[in-house]
Amino acid sequence: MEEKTMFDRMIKALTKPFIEAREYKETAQREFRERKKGTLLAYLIFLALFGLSLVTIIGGLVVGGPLLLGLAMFVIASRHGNGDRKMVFFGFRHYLKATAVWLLANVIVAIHTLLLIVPGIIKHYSYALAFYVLADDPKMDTTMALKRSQDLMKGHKWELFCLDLSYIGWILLSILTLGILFIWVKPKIDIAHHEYYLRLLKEEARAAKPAPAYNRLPFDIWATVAVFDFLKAIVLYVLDFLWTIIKAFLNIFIGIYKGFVYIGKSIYRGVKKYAKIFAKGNWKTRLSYLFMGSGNLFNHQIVKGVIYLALEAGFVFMMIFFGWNYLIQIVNLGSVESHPTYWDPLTNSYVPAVVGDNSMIILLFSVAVIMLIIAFFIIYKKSIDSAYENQQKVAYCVAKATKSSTDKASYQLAYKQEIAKHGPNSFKQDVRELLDNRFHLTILTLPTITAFAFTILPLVFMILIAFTNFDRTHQPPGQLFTWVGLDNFINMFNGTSAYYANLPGTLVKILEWSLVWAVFATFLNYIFGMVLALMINKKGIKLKKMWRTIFVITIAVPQFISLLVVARILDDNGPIVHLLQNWGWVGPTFGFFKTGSVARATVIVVNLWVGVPYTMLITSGILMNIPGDLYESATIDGAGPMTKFFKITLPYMLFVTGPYLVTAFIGNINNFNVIYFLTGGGPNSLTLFQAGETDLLVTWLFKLTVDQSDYKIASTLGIFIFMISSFVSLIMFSKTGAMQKEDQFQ
Amino acid sequence: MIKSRKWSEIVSNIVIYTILTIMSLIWLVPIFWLVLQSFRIETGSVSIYFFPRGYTFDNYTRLFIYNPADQVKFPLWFLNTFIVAAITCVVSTIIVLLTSYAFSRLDFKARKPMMKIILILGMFPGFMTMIAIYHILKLVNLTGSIWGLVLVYSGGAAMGYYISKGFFDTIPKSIDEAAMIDGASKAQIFWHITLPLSKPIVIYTTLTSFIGPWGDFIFARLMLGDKLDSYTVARGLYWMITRENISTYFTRFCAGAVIVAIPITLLFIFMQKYYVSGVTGGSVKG
Repeated sequence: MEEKTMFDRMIKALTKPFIEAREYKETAQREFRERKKGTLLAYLIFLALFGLSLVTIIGGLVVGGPLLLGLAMFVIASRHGNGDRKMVFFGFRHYLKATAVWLLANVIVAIHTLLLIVPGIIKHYSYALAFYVLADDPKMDTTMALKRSQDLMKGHKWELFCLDLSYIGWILLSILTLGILFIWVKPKIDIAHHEYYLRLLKEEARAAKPAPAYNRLPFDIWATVAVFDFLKAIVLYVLDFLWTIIKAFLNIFIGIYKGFVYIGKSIYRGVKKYAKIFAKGNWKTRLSYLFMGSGNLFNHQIVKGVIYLALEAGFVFMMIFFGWNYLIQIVNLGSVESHPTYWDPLTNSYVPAVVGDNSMIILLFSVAVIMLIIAFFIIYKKSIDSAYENQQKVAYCVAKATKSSTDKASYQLAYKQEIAKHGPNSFKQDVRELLDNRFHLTILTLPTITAFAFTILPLVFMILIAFTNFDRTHQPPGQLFTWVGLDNFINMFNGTSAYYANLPGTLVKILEWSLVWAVFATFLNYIFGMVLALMINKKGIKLKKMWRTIFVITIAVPQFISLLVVARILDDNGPIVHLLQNWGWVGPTFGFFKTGSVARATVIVVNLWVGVPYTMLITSGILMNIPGDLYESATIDGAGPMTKFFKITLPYMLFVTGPYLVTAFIGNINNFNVIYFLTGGGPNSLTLFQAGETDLLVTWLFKLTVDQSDYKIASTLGIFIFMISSFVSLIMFSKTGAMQKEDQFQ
Repeated sequence: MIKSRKWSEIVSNIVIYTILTIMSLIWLVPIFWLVLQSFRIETGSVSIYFFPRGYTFDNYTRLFIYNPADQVKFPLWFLNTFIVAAITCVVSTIIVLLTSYAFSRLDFKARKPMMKIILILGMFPGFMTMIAIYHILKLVNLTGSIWGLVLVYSGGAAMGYYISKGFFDTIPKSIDEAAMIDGASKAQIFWHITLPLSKPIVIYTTLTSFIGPWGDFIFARLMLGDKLDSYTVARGLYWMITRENISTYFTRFCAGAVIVAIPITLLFIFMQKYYVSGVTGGSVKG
């Protein structure tokens, strides 16, 4: 019959699917009847599992995918005649794929449902055939499966909806029976769906369309997958970072262990070596074991021998008259306390003054003596080596002379010649060697001695102090201090004593701020400096030198002066605060350094003022070094300025300044000047132990040392700072080390 | 096309010039304020006005006129600092250059371990050694004296060998080898070949070790304690603006700061070329 009006056509279009649906329903009903028992059982299993898993949403998500896939496989197999209820579980063979499809589809549908529900329903129908698609080809890519379903359903969603709608009666009844009736209803629906799927496949094959290109995914699938990938990348990065930290920790312990093993092994090897030399040595060498320098004196090396002997004598005298006294007291660090004369009421007399032990000197000198002992052993070793070397040289000469001569006279002659050439060094020869292949000995002696005296010795001393109770109440020369083992460390992390109750909390807070500060200080300065350098370096800008000089002036002024000046200019009664108050930007009680957060922000900003010229200089230097042809070839390839910046300038800069950034970061953790001169570490806080709210670990250390004389806690803190610095360096160097290996221009 | 490209260039240039000008002004404000305050006629501490009400040279003259009652002995401090800086400069430079040369050019067994040890030692905060050094110097009666300072600055100099070593590393080894074939000893190579080629880094090292003591506060504070007679300018200037002293000495502090800042600024600008090549030379080529 001809449609007369649009209304008629609409009704026709609407009802057409229902009429067609009848076909599918009949097929479904027929096939269902054929294999009722098997199907029913299978669906019972499915519904039981799926229903149970849906108790928690997560359960449904975790298990739903494979169950649905298994169900689809079952339906397909049943229709071919070899259905087996075990097939419901076959979906688990492709667990990951099935779950991925299930999750992805659900997420997309959920997102679409959030906007006005209807889009969600539409999407649901887009993906309705996904599991049949997947069942036909389980190897298919996740997103491809969804796309295939979507492509197939294009233009047919309404039909499928009507098909489902025609089952509405049964569905409602099933809900009324709490889902039990589903065992009868769902199989029919599924068979109908599968029939529909087959029909769509036939239609697609019939249409002369070539296979659709699967290159570009529809947007929602792509977007959801992109978000997942991004989240995955973040999680992996965080895990990698944590793993690096763990590895660093392990490496430290392994390193310490290896260090001990190495020391042990070298001592063992050393003893073996010198026992052997003693066995092989002649009387001159053996005498050297007792009197250093014998091996030289008796080989005509007068100066060297005398020097060695003098060193030995000096060492022995030092130990007897000086070293031994202090060394024996190292265990208790002094036992006699000093006191001035005082009146004892019990005995009614004056107790005379006593000059007791000085713990600090005992410790200091003991450490020095230990170092001298180690140094002496090294020299002792060298003297024996020298003696043995001489012995071997002489033996060589004797052998050669003996070979080339027949009688005593010619032997004497040959021997004299050989000795001159290959014998023990004369003094002149030694001096020449010291300026040539042993030049390092000459140059490094003085620096090593000063380094030991002014760096290593004090450092070891201070590290040891951390294990004593040297503080204000235990100050030599009046009072003694002694070893307390790990007490200070326990106090620092646990705050066991009342006086130190705030200590662990303070440590954590100051550490946090030190790290935050270092991050801001380093990276803000770097970014601003780079931007500034780029601006000045840009092609059209004139007077480049002038601009650079202006900024350099601010860092040429010694830092402590400029910081003190800035601190004054930002003073509560200073011009800037006054100006801001006049403009109404701040209240009458405003001060840059009054509250913790404002003070911290101020410090970061002022640090920009101090640091940007430095980073500007460095980045300028590098910018000027980037080969120009890189940019030229980029321009030829049609790159714009932004592309050039992100693909050439930025990677090159990061590559070259990588090490600088790492050292700057560590340096900023310990940046004393800026904080101390600007705020003195303040504003002071009642909850922090002897610290203020802008204090870094180092300024806190300074205060503890100079103001509180709490040396033991200061030393403990110092060790802690060292551990943090080295830890951070280890991590950062291992990361940038990996980066440095990559090719920079790719 | 070309015209619009030129226009956008001009506009971006104008924007950049504006930003640069504003930034330069901001950056120079504190210095400018310092100079103004040094000529200020009013006494007292920081004023709420940016520009002084009256100007005078008084602050400068009072710094240098001998007044026995005055605790601030600026000329003495200046001389102290100069002596310390000069001696430290010489000693430090020698030590640093020799050490860097040894690590860069000479090959000996202990080379790598020593470099690692120095690296690790450098991670301890500088202060930790201060107390011990202070007590060591106290035993030898060198605290409160500028010679103690000289010892402290020079003693730790070798630890800062990285930059010089980096520079030496960039000199081709073939020059050394050619000289060795001609029979030169390592000492001769260092003196006659390497040093003349390293003028930039020698200047850089000399100037940095000279500038150092002028600006160091931490060690000076610790070593010198209360002995005002041996203060360096850094310690002295800080003393002038402590809470008790700031109202008396603020303007003179500014004058002193300007006097100290001028020569160092000039030296620094002169050295700027060497600084940049020193910091980046190692990393770009290494």
